[in-house]
Amino acid sequence: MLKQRVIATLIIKNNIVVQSIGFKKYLPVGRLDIAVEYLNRWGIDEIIILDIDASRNQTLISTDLIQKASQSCFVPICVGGGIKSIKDIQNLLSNGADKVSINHHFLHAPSFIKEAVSTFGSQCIVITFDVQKINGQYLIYDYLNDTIFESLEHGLKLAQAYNVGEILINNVDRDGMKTGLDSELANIVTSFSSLPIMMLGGAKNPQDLLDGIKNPKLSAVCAANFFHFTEHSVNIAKSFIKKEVNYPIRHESHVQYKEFSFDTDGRILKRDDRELSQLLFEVQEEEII
Amino acid sequence: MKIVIIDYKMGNTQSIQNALSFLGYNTIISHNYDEIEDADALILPGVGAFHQAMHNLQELHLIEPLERHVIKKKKPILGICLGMQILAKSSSEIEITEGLNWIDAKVQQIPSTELSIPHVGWNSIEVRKDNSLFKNISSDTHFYFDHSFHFMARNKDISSTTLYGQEIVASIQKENIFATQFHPEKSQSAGLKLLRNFLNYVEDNRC
Repeated sequence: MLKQRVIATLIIKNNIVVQSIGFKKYLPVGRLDIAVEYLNRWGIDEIIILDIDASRNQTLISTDLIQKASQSCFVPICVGGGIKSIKDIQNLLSNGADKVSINHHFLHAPSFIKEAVSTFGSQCIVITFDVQKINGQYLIYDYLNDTIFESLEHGLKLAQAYNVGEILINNVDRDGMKTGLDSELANIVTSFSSLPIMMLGGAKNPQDLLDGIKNPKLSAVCAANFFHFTEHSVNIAKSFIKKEVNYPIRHESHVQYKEFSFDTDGRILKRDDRELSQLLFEVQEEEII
Repeated sequence: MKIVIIDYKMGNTQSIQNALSFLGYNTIISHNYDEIEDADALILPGVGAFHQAMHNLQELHLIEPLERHVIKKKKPILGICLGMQILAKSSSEIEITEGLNWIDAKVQQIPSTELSIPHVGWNSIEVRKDNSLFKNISSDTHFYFDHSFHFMARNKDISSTTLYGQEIVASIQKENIFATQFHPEKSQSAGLKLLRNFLNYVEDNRC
């Protein structure tokens, strides 16, 4: 059975990973290759890397950065930031990207999208929509010009017509706001489009990811900020989700946190005193591949 | 041991090299005849469209040397994703295109049902045929899939399957030819184990 994916999004600004808050404020996190290496080891299902400076500066996300990051990554990497040509895509793929994310701007360049799909296959092309809710309506936000691009419905229709592989919905209003994934938006998008949908924006803890996964039509739930600064954030989130109900996610990482219980923020709760007194050491054998 | 990843401009060769180098193997990414001649094992990657892949193989005059080494000399080969699909007789992707015809199979679109196409994400497999590729890998292990077309092969060649609306071929094996629809290089520990198993097979069968 196909599992729903738990995806980490890494936002790049000035060639380092940052936490983004409301598309306006940014907190530095650190080096991309280190973030990727840890996420991979903790059992993430996929990693999306987005350079938010690239389009503005009319450059492509640094291929050196991607090459370095991909060396210790054995899960799929999707890369976005300033992609304008077939050559850009080729460049990223040969440096370790598995698929590319193209911002919704390019839906108005059908020849480019069509060529990209026919050269690299649908599975390689992801379209990212930055979505904002205005007067109860979901619209596509143009972050370059700080204006509204068009209706989300129209954008989804175009993406489907161009036969792209996947859609990443990035909720601008909830970016870094810790308000949880927007389930209403998820319902609208999944009932409208038959493409695999990934939702990003607002997830602050494992409970929010679990709430997202409860929509069985969502292909993936994503989080960015939440995965940083916590050891084993991925293993713990997956263990939490698995524990609540046996939801269809993959949880095969080496360290599983099976014997632990958590609060809703995913913090490990103290184990029973009697149990602890019997427990001297728990040895985690090294994984042999 | 010399491993050549066939470079025919259709794939994530870098990812495969990364995975094999993690396992401690040096690999060469090349489409050079001499390199293929000297290789102990070949890896045929592939991401993209079927007709483009066959076109590139023809353009680089790779079909004859590959056939000579894989079919006649029985050199072990691992096809991945599109690298598995082109082993078939033909594909109906975009236009009907002939494949390498090493495996009696056809490539067709996954029937569109309620489910989204492409079939993307982590799916569990069922091992059908106990072969060297799945040593220490049990049924229900997850691998990463990303494809819209599927490989319709004969039962005797199928080594594992997965479920997506219907049964889908996840991997095949025929003598020295191994191939997977999923991406072992992108399937974390399970994928690395599978690659390790392939390399162990090569090591054991070296002449």
